[in-house]
Amino acid sequence: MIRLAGGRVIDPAHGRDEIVDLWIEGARVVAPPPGGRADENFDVAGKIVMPGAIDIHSHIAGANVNTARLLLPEYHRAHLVRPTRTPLTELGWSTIETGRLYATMGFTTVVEPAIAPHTALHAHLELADTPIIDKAILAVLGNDDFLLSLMREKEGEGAIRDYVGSMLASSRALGVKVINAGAAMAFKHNVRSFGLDDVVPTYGVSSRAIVSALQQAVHALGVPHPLHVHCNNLGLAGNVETALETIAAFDGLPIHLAHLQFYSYGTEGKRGFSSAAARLAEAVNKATHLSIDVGQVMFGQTVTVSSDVLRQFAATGFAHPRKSIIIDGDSNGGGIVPIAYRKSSFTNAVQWAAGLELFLLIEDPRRVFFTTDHPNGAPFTCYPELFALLMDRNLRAAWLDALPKSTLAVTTLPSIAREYSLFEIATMTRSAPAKLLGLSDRGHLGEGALADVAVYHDLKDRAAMFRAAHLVLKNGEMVVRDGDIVRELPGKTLSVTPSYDRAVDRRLDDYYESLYGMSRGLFVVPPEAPGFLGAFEDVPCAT
Amino acid sequence: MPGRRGEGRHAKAWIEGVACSLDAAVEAALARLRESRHPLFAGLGCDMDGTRSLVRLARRVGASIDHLSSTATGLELAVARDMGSFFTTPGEAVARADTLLVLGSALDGTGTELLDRVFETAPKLAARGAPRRVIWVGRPLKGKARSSRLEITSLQVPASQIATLLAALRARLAGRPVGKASISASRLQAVVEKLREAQFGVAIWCSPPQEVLAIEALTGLVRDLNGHTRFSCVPVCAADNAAGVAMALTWLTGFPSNIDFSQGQPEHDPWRFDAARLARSGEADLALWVSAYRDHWPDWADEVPMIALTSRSDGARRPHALVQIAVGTPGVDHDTVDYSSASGHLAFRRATARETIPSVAAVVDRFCAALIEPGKALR
Repeated sequence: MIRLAGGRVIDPAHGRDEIVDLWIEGARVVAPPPGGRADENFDVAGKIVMPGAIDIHSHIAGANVNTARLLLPEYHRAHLVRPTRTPLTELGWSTIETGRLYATMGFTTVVEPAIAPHTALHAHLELADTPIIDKAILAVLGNDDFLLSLMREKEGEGAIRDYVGSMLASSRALGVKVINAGAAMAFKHNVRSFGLDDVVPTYGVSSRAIVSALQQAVHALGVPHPLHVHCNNLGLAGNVETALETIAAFDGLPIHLAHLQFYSYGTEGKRGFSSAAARLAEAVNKATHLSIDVGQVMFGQTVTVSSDVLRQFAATGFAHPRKSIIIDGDSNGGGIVPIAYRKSSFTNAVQWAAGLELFLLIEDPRRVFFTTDHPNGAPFTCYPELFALLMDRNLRAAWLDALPKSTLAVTTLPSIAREYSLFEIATMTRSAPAKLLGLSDRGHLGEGALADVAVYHDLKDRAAMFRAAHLVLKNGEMVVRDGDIVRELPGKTLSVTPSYDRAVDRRLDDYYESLYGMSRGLFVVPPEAPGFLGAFEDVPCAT
Repeated sequence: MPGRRGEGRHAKAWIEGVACSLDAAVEAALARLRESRHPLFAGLGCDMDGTRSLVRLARRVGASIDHLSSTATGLELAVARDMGSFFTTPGEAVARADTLLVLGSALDGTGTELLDRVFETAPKLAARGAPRRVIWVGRPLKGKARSSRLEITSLQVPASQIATLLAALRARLAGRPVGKASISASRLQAVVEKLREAQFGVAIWCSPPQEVLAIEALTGLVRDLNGHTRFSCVPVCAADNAAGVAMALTWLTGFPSNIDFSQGQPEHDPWRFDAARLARSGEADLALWVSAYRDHWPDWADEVPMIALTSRSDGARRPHALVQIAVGTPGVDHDTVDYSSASGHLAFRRATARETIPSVAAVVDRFCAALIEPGKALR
């Protein structure tokens, strides 16, 4: 039995912020034993104790991420004679470093949000090689011939639900993501821009209809995490209209909109590019069916890794360094485009400001998540700086001073006084993501919770505080002490196994043989595939 | 490790050519690994589990690692790494490609298999209803291409002229004049029109290292074609799970090949960490040679003390190896995940003749178990 004695426990799921001992037995949090004696006692007086953090959207694994590693060896620190200390070089790039860096910051669960089902096995192998933390994938659907044909032939909700259930099971995913619905297929037909009401050639199905069908299927299957949506028109001036339309269009059921910062642009100002985040935040505040993550931009070199192949192709002209890889995958797409966000760039400064506006103007920290859309807005190693910015208006003012003055005219950020409290940070990084993903024993420190615990020094420098945890426990085992990894255990991968009519599996078998001349078995992830049994943990669906 | 595949009840092993138990061979190999100041893990002809276990061991003992096809794979990846590229999958080539641009100079083995598939089938998802068009560059047509009823344009040029021909096509596509090319100006123009008419075209090749310039020219041509229409590439990868090993090394270290762990963090250098150079120069004092897909040995085998994990084949014992352990063939003797040239992705395959001899991973995990404390954080 372990006792973390005398720390300030911040546990938003139970409304707690108090000085109290935390008791752990095996992998679980337990009630203080009567007359209890601990085998191991840690004095954490003056320290902050939180549940392990949960990241709902970070591109840490899979074929596209691995292609980004291949494309950019020059940003690998071991490749450089004298590495520059940029977030990208500090990232380490490998699965091994990913697990270690997340754990060091007190993160214990991370979701890779964009895996094409055909590459799920690859992603699961990478995740099995990502130590310490637990992981999950979201399966990307919405651009595949099978689904679009079901919709064209008007086969109905039941057929789509069974298909989605089968894809979740065969790819061992925790949920479903749709990315610029229909656009990857349209791009194969040489379409170069694709909005919510555009129609996929030869299928006659609109982007709106695809999102709606998937939203209903995910709900009908009882998958805890609502449909995770990457909207149309990412990154374009004036795309706030797309985001507002999307929010209005799918209001019947829960939905999650990813990296909303990239859709918060208006067309005001001399350059026709402005932050419309305030308008968007107002709409989010009213739309209680909705959760969002931000996709904050931070300055420095990074690389965009996205399955929005149509958008990525359009971005290749802005690549820095000037090279990109564009992938027309089976039923999907992908693009790897490196980018440098510069403090001296008006556009990048507006993007940075818009992200912070969303964080600060969306009132409920249970519905806004802290992502940088790693590595698209910035590497996840920038989270500590981001948390510091949210908690300190003076720090924001100092950053604003270093940006082009023209930025101030097109953002409301300078006028926002709000500062996040530690309790709000814990809500956004712990209790809310656990709830959003349906992980009932995570994100809190109540009795029976998984003993994923992060203990931080209570430093004035919040970035330093969150960069290197004092202690981290994973499943009740000490994995980090004073910012150093002390144990490198394998984590688990979380997935759902919804009920569906298995007849669709036989239909899919025939489909693969007929279209590709391949066995569908090539794309199925069996439980033993990561090389050891017990790699997967089931997350229950509602029945 | 519980559940690891292919534990091996019928293992075959030798110490200096004399048959011994698996346990004795593992102990003898461990003694050598413990003594070595610079071990080299080479060959790496193994599945994903084998590769992952070898990297774990390499991190522990500070080894250099190099796949036997790393020169070809590395040069090919270098093109994508230097200038970017467009890639698609064999599945999309089969289902969607209305036009194929094939560099036929070195296609054999796995390449022929994919070409047979695209030649025998119609692209069911192609927007254009016509039969596939094939533009075949390089050596004369082989196999099913000759007998098929496709619309084939064959451009026979020597291998050394392929890059120049592709550059000429690229120039004509951009409307620029071309000086001397290996085919006539009108023929060149006709090919450009066919490429431009493609609605979803796919370039297929299998590149030997001397054709890097051709791959570069082709990548540039494909990039330019995407200004007008859609075109992408399917490189056919080398044998011995070369693509799968490169993938795993990339996610485990950030680099696809030629990696060294002796400085703590992985370093990459195609020259310094080339297996043949390390073996011949004496920089490596021990080689762990792995070839599970076929009975194959490096030509430097006698130049460095060697532990060998090799495919079982009767009488394949190598008397010069310090220790030799026969390992199962992935997908035959044990379940496996490796690169499928049919799908272009990693895939799981069940064993067809289960568990007769151990997998590479099973043997290497025994080394790891003896050398690494479970859960210990490596640095």
